[in-house]
Amino acid sequence: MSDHTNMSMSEYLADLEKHLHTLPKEERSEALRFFEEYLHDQYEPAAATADAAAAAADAAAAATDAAATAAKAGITGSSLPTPKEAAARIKAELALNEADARPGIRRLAKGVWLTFLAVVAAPLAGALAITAAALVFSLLLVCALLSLSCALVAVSLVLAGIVEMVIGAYLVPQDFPAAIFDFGLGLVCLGIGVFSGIASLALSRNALRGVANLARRLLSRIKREARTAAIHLSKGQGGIA
Amino acid sequence: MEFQVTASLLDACVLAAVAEEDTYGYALTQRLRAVVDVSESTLYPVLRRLQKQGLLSTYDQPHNGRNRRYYVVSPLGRQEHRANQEAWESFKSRIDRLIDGAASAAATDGVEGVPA
Repeated sequence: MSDHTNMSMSEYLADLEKHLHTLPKEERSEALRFFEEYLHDQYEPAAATADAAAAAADAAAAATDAAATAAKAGITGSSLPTPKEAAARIKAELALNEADARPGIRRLAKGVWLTFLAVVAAPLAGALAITAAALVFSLLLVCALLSLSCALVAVSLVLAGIVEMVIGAYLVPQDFPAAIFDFGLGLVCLGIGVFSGIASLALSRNALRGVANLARRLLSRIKREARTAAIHLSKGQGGIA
Repeated sequence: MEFQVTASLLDACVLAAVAEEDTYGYALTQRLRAVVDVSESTLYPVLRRLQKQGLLSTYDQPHNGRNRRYYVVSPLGRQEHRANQEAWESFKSRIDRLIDGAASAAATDGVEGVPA
């Protein structure tokens, strides 16, 4: 962790801006404005006391000057976290908000990813997140493999059915009963193949929906944990309270 | 023993503090830090979230040659605050019953079969 207690206010803000460069412009300037205002307000009362002797009319201007001096002297005494930590918290929160605002199965992946980013910033929720991610991933894998094997069975049944029917058609001049038998067998295979194909499609869709619902529930739980973890993570790491 | 503040409780606290009076970042932080143990950097994300949820809005007011951003509770935020008050009241009384109940049980320790 870099020592930021000797930074001037503008250095602190510049550093913070650097760490926030991945954010949309609006989010970045909102955050910078908050911290700039915060630092100004933090030094103003102390500065105003130092200049208590100043004339009332000049008090405001003097306070501003003194605040500026304090700002140049460094943000000693501030219990603000390092710019990097503050940036991590802001980014984490934004990611969680984004994840909130994205409904639908297709956007779930994006939500999972954004929450993952947030969790990285708040590692206390990390264990939970990793377990959940592993669970969801393995369930998805099971679903995918089951669907794949069902699909393969269906495709091979359909192919076998077609081949049987072709053989049946070839056999017509030579052995009519055998031809009818083969053709019939082919039709049965084709029927079962098509039916199991449709069934496995429906099944895998439902399974996928189930996994998605589970993922969504886990996601909201992790987000809650991540937010709470973040509160307590940033506490006591400012190091200069 | 220190009880940890959860994210939802902190949201409720911030909303309550702003509902008390319109306030700005630094003052709000000091107000909350007097009551709950949170870091100074925690509040910006909370404020931003409440703002995005439409529970808080902001206005600027000149102060010492610059603008100060004040937070104010929106009508939706008022509703949420009232809901929080009720939820907190119910939560508190349930926990009170449990903790005070345990305390009075400890006081009458040794007396068995006391009907609750």
